[in-house]
Amino acid sequence: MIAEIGHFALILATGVALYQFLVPLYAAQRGDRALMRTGLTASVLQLALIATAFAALTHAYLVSDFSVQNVFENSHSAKPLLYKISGVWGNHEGSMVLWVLILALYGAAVAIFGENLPLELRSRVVAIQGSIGLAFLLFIVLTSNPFMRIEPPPIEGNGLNPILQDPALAFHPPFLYAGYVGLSIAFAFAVAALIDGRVDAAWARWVRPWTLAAWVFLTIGIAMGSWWAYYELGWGGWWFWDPVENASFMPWLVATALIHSAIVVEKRNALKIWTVLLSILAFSLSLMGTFLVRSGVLTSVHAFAVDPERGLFILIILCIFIGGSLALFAWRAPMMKAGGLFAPVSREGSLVMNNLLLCVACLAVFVGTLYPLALETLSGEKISVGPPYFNLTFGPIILPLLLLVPIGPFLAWKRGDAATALRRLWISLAVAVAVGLVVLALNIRGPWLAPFGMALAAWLVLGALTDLASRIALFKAPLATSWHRIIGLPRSAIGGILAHGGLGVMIAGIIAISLWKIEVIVALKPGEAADVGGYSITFIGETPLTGPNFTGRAGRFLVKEGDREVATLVSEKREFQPSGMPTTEVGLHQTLAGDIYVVMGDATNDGGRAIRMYFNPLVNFIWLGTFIMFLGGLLSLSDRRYRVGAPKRHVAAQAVPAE
Amino acid sequence: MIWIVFALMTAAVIAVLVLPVVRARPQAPDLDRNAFDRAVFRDQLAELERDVERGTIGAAEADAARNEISRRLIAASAMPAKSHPARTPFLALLAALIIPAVALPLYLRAGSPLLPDVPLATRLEKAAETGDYEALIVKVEQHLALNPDDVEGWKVLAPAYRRGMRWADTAEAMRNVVRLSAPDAGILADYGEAMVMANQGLVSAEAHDVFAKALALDAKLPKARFFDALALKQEGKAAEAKAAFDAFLAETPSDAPWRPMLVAEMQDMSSKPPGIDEQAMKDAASMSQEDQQAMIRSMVDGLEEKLKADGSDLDGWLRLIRARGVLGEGGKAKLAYDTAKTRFKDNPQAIAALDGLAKEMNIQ
Repeated sequence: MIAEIGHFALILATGVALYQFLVPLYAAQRGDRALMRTGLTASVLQLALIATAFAALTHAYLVSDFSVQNVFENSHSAKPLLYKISGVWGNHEGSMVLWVLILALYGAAVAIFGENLPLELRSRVVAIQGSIGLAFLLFIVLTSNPFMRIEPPPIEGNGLNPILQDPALAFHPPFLYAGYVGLSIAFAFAVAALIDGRVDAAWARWVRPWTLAAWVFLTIGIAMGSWWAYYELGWGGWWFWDPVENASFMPWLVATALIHSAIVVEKRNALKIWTVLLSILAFSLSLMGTFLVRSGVLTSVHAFAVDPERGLFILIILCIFIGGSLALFAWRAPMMKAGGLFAPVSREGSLVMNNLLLCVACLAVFVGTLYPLALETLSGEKISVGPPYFNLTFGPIILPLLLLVPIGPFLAWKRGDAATALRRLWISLAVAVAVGLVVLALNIRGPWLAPFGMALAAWLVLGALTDLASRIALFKAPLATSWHRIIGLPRSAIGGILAHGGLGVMIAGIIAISLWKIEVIVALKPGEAADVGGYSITFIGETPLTGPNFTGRAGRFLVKEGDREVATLVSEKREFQPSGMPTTEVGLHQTLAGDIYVVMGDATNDGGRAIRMYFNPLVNFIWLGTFIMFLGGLLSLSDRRYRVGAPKRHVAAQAVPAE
Repeated sequence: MIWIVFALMTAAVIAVLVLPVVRARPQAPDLDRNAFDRAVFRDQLAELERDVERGTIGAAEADAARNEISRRLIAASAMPAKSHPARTPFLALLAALIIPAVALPLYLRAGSPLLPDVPLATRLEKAAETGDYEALIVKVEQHLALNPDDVEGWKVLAPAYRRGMRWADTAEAMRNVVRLSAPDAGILADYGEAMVMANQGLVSAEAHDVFAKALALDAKLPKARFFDALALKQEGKAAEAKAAFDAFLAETPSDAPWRPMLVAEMQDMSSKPPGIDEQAMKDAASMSQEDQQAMIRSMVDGLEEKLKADGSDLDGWLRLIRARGVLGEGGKAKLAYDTAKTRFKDNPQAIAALDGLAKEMNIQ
């Protein structure tokens, strides 16, 4: 009965979504406040119902109820508890339920925490959220229903794709979806503003933190996906410009632009119309990401369903929302008032520059991702667009942006002075150039990009530190004063500094692994050794291995640096039951200086193994940097200025302060 | 029962939506919309002062910004409160009725209201009372995983697997029964038979050993005799096989259920695509040599046609390859083998079976 209650709750949520879509829109137009409030209630009900459905589905997974087809197809009674839970969203149907659950969570948050928003705006936002929910709930109920039953039920399930049985991937989708779907709030606010014909001042206060939340989730979600690809796929790489990766990277780029432009709207009331457009674009790219992954138009490392019926359905959703919102924008935007003025060289100007470069970079990724698909659809020709394309397009576009990142925070609002800004940054600049020269001296035979890349990374980190130092008047005021100032700094400022510094740390990692990675492929018999990047790695031998739902062989490797034993690594080849699908577990020794990465391959004829070994210098800087960016986002999110209360009744009666 | 739950859920949803509208008192005029803007502008002014203090904005720019915000603050002066339209409980109720109107047809289309939950643990627990055959098998399997030496368990499991045509599992269960029982010709013969079935009708050397052991215990055991003779035949020892069959037939009562099978095997000593239906075999028994050959060929061709139309039947392919091989049509056997291999390239088990047969039939 629990399964059917979940099913009914999901369908009831579809009905509530229709109510949530239509009624608040009508009520806001009529000015009927009581009816508008029912829209808010509907969005909370929506959350309660979808949460019920999700809980029922999770229950079916936990108790291995194979009378539910989705559980039968994707679970197995012998699976560890963690993967029974993550199995809920490790498949198409369940992941869509997670998608609408997160959507409902955001919608209810607007209804509950939106006290400082005008009721008309809040109703319209909730209505737009309702329309998105309706579209996806219909998609689930009509094409991807996780509550279909089997009579009589099979006694055992098919199991979860073993490649997905991994802690990082278990939590990768929820974070990624929280990011994708979080952008729906900015979208709903943008469309509500367009319907309304005005951008309330409170609008920007809301758009920025919600976009920031989405950005934080996207950042950590993408980082987890990349980390997983690095150690689970066993290819030694961390980013493949795979369409599925790009599908999450494009919304991230535009969301990054959006959190920057929202600063301008919030602080200076300028760039409003552009920010509305950017909000629409950001969520459109999220929808497109969902479409690319969920429709099965791609065949990539992400092992998901292929079903043209579903693809068509999502494509229609995509057209309605993207086309509809852009048409609305074209119609209403010219009627909106533009905001404050600023000089080209100013904080505002630098943020516009940031936005332009990020959007163009996103366009480059967009073309590289969709062009092969379009070509295949039109001419049937299959081409693959790989790293060379992205290095040649994305690289040169993002490079000037990275160079400008440290300068932006030193420009004053409204009218800035580039020379002054650079003067304040001269130490950073000098040190960065020195770093470049040292790297050049150490790598006199190339690679030629190395000195430049490392100088860039140093420039970003030092620029962020200089920003901090100048804000707290380090070395100009007594240390106690500086410490006092650091406490008093707005958290959003520290967040920004962390994010920019983290970017530099990440760049250092990317440059190092791209240019100095060492790869050795050898056939070794037990007892034999090979040298990789100054380490000697001995293949000790292999032993059989039994897990809860797999069997396999574990190869052991002794890593030595000179005579010193550094680590013993284990690389496994596993075969999962019941599918018989093989997976590889990488043997990984992580240090900040770099990873030793060993993969045991197939057996050779003479009793040895083909073995791939990598030394990946500074690779952990990539995730360390992303994690710092993530922390910066979180810190900024906790800034107290987002906790502006609702206007009190007596405030309305106060006189306007005189100039 | 479940419909009551559904009705309650629906009613609760509608009540939560509509009741506040019904009960709503005429409210004091709400804050005008600009009040929200003014709150933000005041906050911006405060933020600007903080920026000035920190020196992130020049004095002149700060003045300009202050003017700008103040202008906005003045522009957002209080608007006259709007009059509220009359309360609309009926409208709200009517609107809320969309919810069941949408939900009911959708649920009736896809739901299975009468199906109970079937959690695996409960299903296994109640397997005996409900007579849930599959669950009983799993229960015995779980028991045997912990007590692999419980011969009674294996004895229950083997015929259960057999009924489900799970031959490899049957063979494994019988292997355990043999391992745990006193030597017994009947058990050995059943074990051997399961091995043969798991091996697509081929008597492996290992299986032949098992039958030999059974015969050592009971030389007259029909099943063991039959498979022993069949093994000799498959090993190409025609004379010995014929002798064994003849001896067996001589001692077989005319109404023995295995007699037709035995006769068919004997008729087919030189050329028989194994596994073709028994009635046809009986017919073949009364034909001349040429007619037999022609009939067999037409049956094999028919099998090939069928597989061309629907190639998903692995057993069919195995039969076809074996038949072509036995008929001495090596080229056609190779062709069938290649086709089947491409057909089943994603199925390692099938490939293994095909390769095993090809090796045995000397197809390269």
